[in-house]
Amino acid sequence: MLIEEEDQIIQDLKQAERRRKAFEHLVSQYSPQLYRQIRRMVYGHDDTNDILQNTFIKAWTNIESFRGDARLSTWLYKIALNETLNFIHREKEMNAIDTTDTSIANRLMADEYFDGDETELQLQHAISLLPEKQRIVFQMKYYEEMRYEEMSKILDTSIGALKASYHHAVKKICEFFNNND
Amino acid sequence: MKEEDIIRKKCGSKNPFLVPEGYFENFTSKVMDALPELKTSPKTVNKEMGHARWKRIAIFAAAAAICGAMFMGILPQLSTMQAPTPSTIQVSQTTELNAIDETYIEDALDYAMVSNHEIVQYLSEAY
Repeated sequence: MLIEEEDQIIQDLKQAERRRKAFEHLVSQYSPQLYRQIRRMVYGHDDTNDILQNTFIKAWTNIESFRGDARLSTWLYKIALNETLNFIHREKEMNAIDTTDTSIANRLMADEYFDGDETELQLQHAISLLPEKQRIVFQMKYYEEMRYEEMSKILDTSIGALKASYHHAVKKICEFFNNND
Repeated sequence: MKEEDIIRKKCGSKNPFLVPEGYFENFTSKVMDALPELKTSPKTVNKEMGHARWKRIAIFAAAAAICGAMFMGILPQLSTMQAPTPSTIQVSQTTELNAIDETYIEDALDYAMVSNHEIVQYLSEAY
């Protein structure tokens, strides 16, 4: 989204009579990229759909707390990430998500909305084995090609630490492929 | 070759996750239908209420501070302003004078650098 367009949406969101229309525009603009980000963390479409809806509902109910200091996308990413991590931690506590070696690969193979070959499956498996922070950073950088500056604002982490996380993640994934080839 | 390039060459960076057909087209309207009605700027109302409350507290605090200051100022004076009875007036005046004689006059003379000889001289000339 262009900066001018985003500025206009921010202005409209501040006005009660234009707020709903502006928010509708926001949802249609940002849902695909937020969906991708969430889906790569939780894998299933239905869970992603629920988290994405909650993300926008949370954004709507807290719209007055958005002061315009950060970009709208950054703010939305932050909410989406919190919602995703809450979901993952909740599921982990309930032992619903099994992160053993074969579970992610099995789940993806059984998922009708997963369109990947054997190598892609291996990559997703390798990513799933990364520590949480490295996994988030890797996906933001590798797939979304997000700048470290924006990532830093979303994750409240220094750029240096993010670069180190990405470096470690890439190294581990390479090692995974070397061991499994 | 950098490690990242090795991964990209091997796997690419295509998004392997698909969505049901027409998902995003319907998603926006679903979200919009699910949005709760926002109350007319509840935070603003609360803020205004908060401001009014703080204003009242500030006024009370200022009034209390003034009363406190006045009370603290008056209290020492009240303790010294005990109404003397006629029988004690004479005694107190004498003791006050004695006290003045004993404590302050010597100090005053010291500060004035007047010697005893000069005082005697002055008194003899005067009388």
